[in-house]
Amino acid sequence: MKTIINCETGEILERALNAKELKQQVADETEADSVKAAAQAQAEAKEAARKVILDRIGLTAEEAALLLG
Amino acid sequence: MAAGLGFKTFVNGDVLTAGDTNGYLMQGVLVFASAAARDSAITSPQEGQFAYLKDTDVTTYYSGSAWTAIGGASGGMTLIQETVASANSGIDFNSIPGTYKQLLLVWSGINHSAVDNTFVLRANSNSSNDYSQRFFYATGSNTVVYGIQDSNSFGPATFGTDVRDTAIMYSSLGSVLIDNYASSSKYKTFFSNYAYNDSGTNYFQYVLQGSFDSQTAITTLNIVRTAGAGTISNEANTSIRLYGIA
Repeated sequence: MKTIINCETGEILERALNAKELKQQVADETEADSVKAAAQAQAEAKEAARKVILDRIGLTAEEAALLLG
Repeated sequence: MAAGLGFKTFVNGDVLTAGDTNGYLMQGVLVFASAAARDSAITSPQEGQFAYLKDTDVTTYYSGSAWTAIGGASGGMTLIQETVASANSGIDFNSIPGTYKQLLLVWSGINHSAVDNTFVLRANSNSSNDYSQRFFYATGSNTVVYGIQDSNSFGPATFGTDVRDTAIMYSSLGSVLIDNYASSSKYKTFFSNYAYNDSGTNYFQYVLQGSFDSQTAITTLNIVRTAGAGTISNEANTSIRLYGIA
């Protein structure tokens, strides 16, 4: 349900989303999922790259943090 | 509409002519309950005609092409509508009068009913990437990020993402100022700042400027859910207010 406020008359109407709004909602949700998945993939790729470097130099994440801190 | 003749004191026995009626009696301010009542009663407004609207306490005049609120030249802010969100999946402010120079939407105390929800602000239900903007935002880790993008809303997550803490200072609060919103030929510059705290205890503080790249006059502002299946509500003693700035 969405609330529609008529700014000229003050009338308030509650109604279900129409077909166009429902279609837009699905598109918005799909885009949101896509953005979230891309961010997740980026974070995982960064973590994997970090792990490769740590393995190469033989340090744990905690030891590396201690050095950089 | 006939030219006004000024003021005349009628005395007993005077003959009321058509000229008197048009020149004196038709020059007054007509009083209506609202703009809708005015428009219903005056279907062919005449340039120079005046109408007082009781619901908003605004006096308007007809310029020849539109009803215009008096006071525009001297400035001033008028509360157009105030609402309290209560488990809403979306809110539209429609039929926004085109009689102001700027619109200001102000809110505080907005919370979401569930995680993974995002609510944004759009105009005229326009979901294209017509909102060009640049912004700074800071998070709870004190990282400040600069962003520039063509977005499909006034700022990313205008009303927050995952806003679940009921404390007012952690809820969504902010404002959006839209300039020249009634123009049907120019793009609309906007300025906004807003903040919220997500359920992961990250704090987001946005400061942004942008341009709504649409020549269409804004007559509707839409609070839209773009992710999740939840609703928004105002905490006690908070609201969403739409002002017109003359």
